[in-house]
Amino acid sequence: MAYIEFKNINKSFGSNHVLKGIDLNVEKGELLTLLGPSGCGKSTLLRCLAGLEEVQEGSIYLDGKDITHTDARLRQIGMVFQQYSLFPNMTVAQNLAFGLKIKKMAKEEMKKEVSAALKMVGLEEKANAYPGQLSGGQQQRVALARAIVTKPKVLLLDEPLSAIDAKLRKNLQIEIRKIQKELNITTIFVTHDQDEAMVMSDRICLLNEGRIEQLGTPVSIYTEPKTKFAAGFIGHYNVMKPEEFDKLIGEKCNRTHAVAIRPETIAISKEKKNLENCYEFKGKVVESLPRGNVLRYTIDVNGIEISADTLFRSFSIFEDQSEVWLSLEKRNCLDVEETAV
Amino acid sequence: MKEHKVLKTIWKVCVAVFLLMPLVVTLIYSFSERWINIIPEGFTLEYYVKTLTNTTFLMGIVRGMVTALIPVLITNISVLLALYVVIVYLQNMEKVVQLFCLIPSTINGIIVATSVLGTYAGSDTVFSNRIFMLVMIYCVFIMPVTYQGIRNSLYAVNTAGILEAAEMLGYRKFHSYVTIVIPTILPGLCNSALMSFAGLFGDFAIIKIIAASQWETAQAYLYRNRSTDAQELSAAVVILLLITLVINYAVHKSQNDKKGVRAE
Amino acid sequence: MKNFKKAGGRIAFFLPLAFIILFFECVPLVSMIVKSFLEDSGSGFTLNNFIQIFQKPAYLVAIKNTLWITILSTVVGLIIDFFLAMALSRDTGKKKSLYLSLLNLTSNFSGVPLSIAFITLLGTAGVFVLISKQIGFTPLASYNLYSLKGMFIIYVYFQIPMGTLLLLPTFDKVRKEWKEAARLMNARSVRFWLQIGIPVMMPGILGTFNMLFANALATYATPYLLVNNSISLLPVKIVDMFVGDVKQRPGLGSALSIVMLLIVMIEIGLTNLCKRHFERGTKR
Repeated sequence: MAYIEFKNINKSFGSNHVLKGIDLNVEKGELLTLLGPSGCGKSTLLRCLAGLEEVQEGSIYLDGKDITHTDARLRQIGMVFQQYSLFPNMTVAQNLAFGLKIKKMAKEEMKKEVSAALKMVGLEEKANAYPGQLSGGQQQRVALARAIVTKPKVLLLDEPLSAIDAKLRKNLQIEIRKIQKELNITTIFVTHDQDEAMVMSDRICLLNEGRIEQLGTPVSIYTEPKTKFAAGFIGHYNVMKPEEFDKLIGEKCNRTHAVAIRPETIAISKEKKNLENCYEFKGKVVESLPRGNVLRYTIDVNGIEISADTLFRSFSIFEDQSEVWLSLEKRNCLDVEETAV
Repeated sequence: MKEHKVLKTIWKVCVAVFLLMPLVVTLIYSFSERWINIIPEGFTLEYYVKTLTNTTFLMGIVRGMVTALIPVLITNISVLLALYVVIVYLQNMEKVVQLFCLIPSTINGIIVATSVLGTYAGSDTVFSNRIFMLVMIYCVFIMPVTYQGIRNSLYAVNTAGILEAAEMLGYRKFHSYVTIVIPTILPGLCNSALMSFAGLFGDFAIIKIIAASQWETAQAYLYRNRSTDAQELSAAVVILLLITLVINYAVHKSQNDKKGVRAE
Repeated sequence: MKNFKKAGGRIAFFLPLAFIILFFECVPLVSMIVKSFLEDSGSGFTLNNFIQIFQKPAYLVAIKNTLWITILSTVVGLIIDFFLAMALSRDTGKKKSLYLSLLNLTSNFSGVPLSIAFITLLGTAGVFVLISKQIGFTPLASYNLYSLKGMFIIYVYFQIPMGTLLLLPTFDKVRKEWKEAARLMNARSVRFWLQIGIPVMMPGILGTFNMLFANALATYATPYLLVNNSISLLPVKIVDMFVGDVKQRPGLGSALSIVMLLIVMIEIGLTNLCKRHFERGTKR
């Protein structure tokens, strides 16, 4: 039996059916990310596990026990919210001690636990500061420390980094992952940022409109998207209908499924290369956008626009409107379903 | 969680009953011929006819409205003018103006009224005119609410920015203050003005101190006739409450209009 | 010359407000303070007025009565208001706006009309009193509205709508995340409100306390109508000194006004001290 089991979870807000029969298992000690666009139900699923939302149908098991109707107070779950969740009238240390006091922990031991948790997030010197005196990033670290100091069975992170600026976010992602591994704590992380999900997760559960779209390791989800939605959401895939694909490569393939092509698998060159097991076709550069170390071209091929990524090297930049040859390995053209089954 | 909800509902109902009790009983009382047993007896409109044909009472309402309306106008205009200068030219005066406008919230109406009376009553100037005195005291009385309402609205619409932008387009600042800024904040202004108006219309203490005999408002009339027929008094109270209700509705509406403008 | 004209124009804009504030706020206030140190005959500096206030039982009782009914009605009102605002804060839609209309209406129901309504209800020939006599319900049958304790109910009545309307926005400051975080740490809701909710709301609660206190302190119509001089209260006493039927004593009246002013200032000072204590963390 898995550590956490969701069985056929259904949840509606009024006429809005948010979760449509979710079945999901989470293993002990793993970090599972719930990934999806806003409104897909990922936060709601997390809050159902926490007990902050009632489940209308289905059941949730934690550590072998049915907790579907257990009060949130008794579930032993730690949670970090999006932002502003620290108690503003208490110092950092008091915030951490709040949960321990309820556990009736001895003063000395409590002190030890609090400073250990603060040390873990690197904020020992801020123990006596008030939340209002901390930066957004520091506040989220404290929130994390507060969530783990009570030694909960599960740690829930509800988009904890979405209000933090990009650079700091990268650091915190690594740090959270490090702490999670160190404590070996079962963690469910909610985000809408696919890069963040890639960096942090053992497994990713991709959600769309209240259903699980795909479940798997970051690599498998990235390289083998099963549905049109997964391909579009995860890797900026070029997704096209079979007849569009035929038009692109200029031959008839009789494919039955939509085709997904990752931008970085398309190679661009000035001349035709005549490679084996490749489709090769001519196109015209519409525009190019630098994206970090990658240059993304939008190329018009027979009236179909596709994107292709190349590493940003100065000697291989193609001008707008110039004619280029594109080559694409056949095995990189993936079949994807219209929707999840 | 469920029990909390039940407790909250019980609490809300209890307080609502307490709040409604005097209103409802007065209403029923004013329509009944007598109420000396458990259930009121007889339905009559007699007391309303009496009250509504009583010119002294009606004049009292009119008087009350006049001396509520004039101070509201005077105070709003004075504060608007002064804050224009403060925002455009003399930002450092802001604190001073604020201090003096908010002092009346600490010294209550009774102290203002008695001190003004004590200072000017025998002075034989225009200041010793009781109605003038009353209007001025009312101005001071509603100063804090008016000041805060106007100040918040002026800063909410970034008045300084609007005036500068208009000046670059070739308009004089005061001209754009009157034609752009004031119309923009008018809904908020009306809201606080109506609240002040309702407060002054319901005043008894200040009128009693300053001018109860020269200028008998509806409140003063009720007081003078406190021991006359109870049903007639109840009818008068109901009528005054209806007027308040209308003012309230107007406040509510001006608030909603404001929201509507924002939504656009 | 042009600059002078401009400056003159600006000052002209200030004139109306300055006129009101100077002649009807500052001058009377100063004159009141001066008068409180003068004999009513008009000659010479004296502390007599204040000495009288703190020696004669009549004035001491007035102060005591005023403090009793003001503080008690403020505290009781605030407690009722707190739970009412709490219950209303999570509501939405039609039900809430209906309740708010009731509060708005009753917040303007004050002074003479309110007192008359309560006389109809609980006066000597009040409806409830008569009914209680009929059914033999003694506590209400012998209700004496014309006493300090009897009037108390009216004071509480007008504290409810005002305080609730003032407290409602303060509840918005308590974030949902705090409640949820506390709940996940196994805190019961009483613990949450005592340790987080109320401390966070404290500045707003104290502000409301100030307003209710000032409101009750300055209440004139109700005691004047119900008990007049049989039970003395500061506002009634002060007004009597200026416009009473008996001998007018503006010096003593001014001194009483200053006592009332001092009560307000001490109360505001105390709540400010309290406020500072609670604002420690929430202010940057």
